[in-house]
Amino acid sequence: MRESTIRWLVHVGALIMTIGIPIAVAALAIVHRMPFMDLMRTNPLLIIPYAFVYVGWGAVWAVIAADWVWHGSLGIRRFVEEFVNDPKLRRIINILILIFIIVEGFVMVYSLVFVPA
Amino acid sequence: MESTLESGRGFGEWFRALNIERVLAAIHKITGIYMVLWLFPRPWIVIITGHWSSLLAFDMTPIGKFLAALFVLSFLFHGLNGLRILLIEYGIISGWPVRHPIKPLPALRVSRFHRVALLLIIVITIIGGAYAIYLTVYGLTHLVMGV
Repeated sequence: MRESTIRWLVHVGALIMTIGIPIAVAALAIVHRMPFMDLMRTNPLLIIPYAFVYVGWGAVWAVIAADWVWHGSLGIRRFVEEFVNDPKLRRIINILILIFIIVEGFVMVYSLVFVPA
Repeated sequence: MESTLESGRGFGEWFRALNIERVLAAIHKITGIYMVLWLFPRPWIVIITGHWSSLLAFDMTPIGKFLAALFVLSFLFHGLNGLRILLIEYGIISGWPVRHPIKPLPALRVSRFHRVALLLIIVITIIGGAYAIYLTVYGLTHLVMGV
């Protein structure tokens, strides 16, 4: 895959998180009539992930979970490749990162969507 | 004499030839690594134990809350700075690079829009981060739904 495509994927992943999560939380508050003051007093780590599970928006949550994995994994790739100059070794790292994205993505989506909160 | 920046030399390069953009870039990477370390093991713990409760119980301990507060702070900074990087890469924040006449320092953008973006990132990270850390430590731990 071209580097520009990978960079574009990182950007899409970033936008889904930084724009998608606030929209989803706001939608949650509106749809389920959660008072604004309660929203502003709730632990963000509770409100963001578990609210999705609570209202059963599994598909949306799965997209965000997968998005975390690919954005984070491509970040790891970039970090690891700062230590590597050899093109062959970089190719191996690319393959390992791809395997990691698939495995971690599956585990992340499964744990968030199918394991009860 | 200072050498120019090189790729493939590891994180020692992050802290050399610093200016505001490179400091933000270094913090961006550090916060990204921390978020991966905090987030990625969690689904495995859930899969192994078969439920979320043990992980959530750990999150309620002082150490768990401290780690979670660091995560929230990292998320806030990483997200804001990431948006700034996106705006630069897509040409919405444009500027003209300024180079030090002698030292091989990397370019520093000087457009007014970029200065405003830098200021916003710093201010929102400090104020929003303090509030987010407060919520992580003392916020409600149950959902209040109207339905």
